[in-house]
Amino acid sequence: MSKIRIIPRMDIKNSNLVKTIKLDGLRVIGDPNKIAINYYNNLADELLFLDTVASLYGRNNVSQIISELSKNVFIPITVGGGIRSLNDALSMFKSGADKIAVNTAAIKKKNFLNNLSKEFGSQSIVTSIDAKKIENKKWRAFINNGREDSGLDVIEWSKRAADKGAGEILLTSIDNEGTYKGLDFDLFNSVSAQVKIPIILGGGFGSLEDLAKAKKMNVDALSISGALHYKKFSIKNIKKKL
Amino acid sequence: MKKKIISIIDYGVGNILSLSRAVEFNGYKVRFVNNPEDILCSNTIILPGVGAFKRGMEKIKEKNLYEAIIETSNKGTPILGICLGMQMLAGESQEFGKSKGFNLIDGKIKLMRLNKPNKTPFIGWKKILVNKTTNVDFSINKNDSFYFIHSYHFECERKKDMTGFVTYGDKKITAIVCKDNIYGYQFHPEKSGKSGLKILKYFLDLK
Repeated sequence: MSKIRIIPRMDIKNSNLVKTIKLDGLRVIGDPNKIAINYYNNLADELLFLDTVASLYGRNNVSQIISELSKNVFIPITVGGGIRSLNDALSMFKSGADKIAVNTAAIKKKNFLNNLSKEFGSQSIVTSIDAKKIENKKWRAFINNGREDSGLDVIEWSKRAADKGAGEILLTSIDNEGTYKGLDFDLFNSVSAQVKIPIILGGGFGSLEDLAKAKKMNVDALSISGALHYKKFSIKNIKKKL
Repeated sequence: MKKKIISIIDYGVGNILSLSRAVEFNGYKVRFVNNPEDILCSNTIILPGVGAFKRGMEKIKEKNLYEAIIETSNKGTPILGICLGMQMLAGESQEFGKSKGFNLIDGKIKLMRLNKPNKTPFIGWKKILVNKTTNVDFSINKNDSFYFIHSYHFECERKKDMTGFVTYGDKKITAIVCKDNIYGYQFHPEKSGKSGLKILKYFLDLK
């Protein structure tokens, strides 16, 4: 088993890095380029960029940011938010993305994941699932940045997404996101028991206890935003504990 | 001094922007090539690639690049395959039914059957061990690790072609192939931070 990958999550609105709480209530953090270079120098394993408004307005500002970033940053970059067509995906790869993350379009367009993985290879396709708890050990997949209930059960949808050719799952707990109260390991275990592809777990990272648990449960990767952006932790310190 | 120009083969797959930036970062110029003439007059060639083997080879052939790549490598021009580009150097792949590669290094591409908790695709950073019998010095430091993302691996016919390897659980997986002027990196040097830039430079500096 290789070490858990630590992936700073960069939510982007217009040209700013922002932080959300439960995927809502934006606060501006700063210049994404500067902050991303800092994470790279501090040995982040990958970077994750999500355009928070793209899926509402059908536009994407992130491609410019990552294209500029690729001059200085040499780690894998995943980009998501508002990717609805093969062309959208292609333009992201051309801008310097190594993987793309899709949520809304993957749910709404029946063959989207199949077509993406056929065209670009499974390894570059991440299914992003925003999970909202509805009862004990049951979660619903939300779309449009946590605004809309898709009606799909998270575990069922994870299985189907993997079958359709997704190479990885970005699994975010909406309930815990921005709260620092800890990752939802129940959610991870429930999905992990059903799919064989790697899972990036996110939403609520807030303590070293999370790291110990993640290690014990063989979590593949962690997506962390607020805890890093607000400097509660540094990547170097986190990696020392792994 | 004029900067050496590195040709990156652009056949429509993967993130070649990052690769070109990594080459430029090392002080070289980049030219994207997608026709046989440009390949034949290249001095150093990188064959990138991600995705499925069969689709990759089809795209190479659609653009009429197959013969030019073989001819150039026969002349002794340094050529580096990265990820899928490395796997395409092999004789054949068993991904989605058999398909033929460039056969520049004897071997087969096979699905990795990893034991838990390792998953396929394997995604993550690994340290590379260099085969002691090789005389190629990549100057890899003890702490250098490299970014891998793949489900298939290169099974070399001859042990000595497997210049570097990584271990996933109890499995030994080829990380570097090397035979004369032909090089292949299974990992992404352009995505492996400073260690990656350094091992990419090793190849770029070849005369």
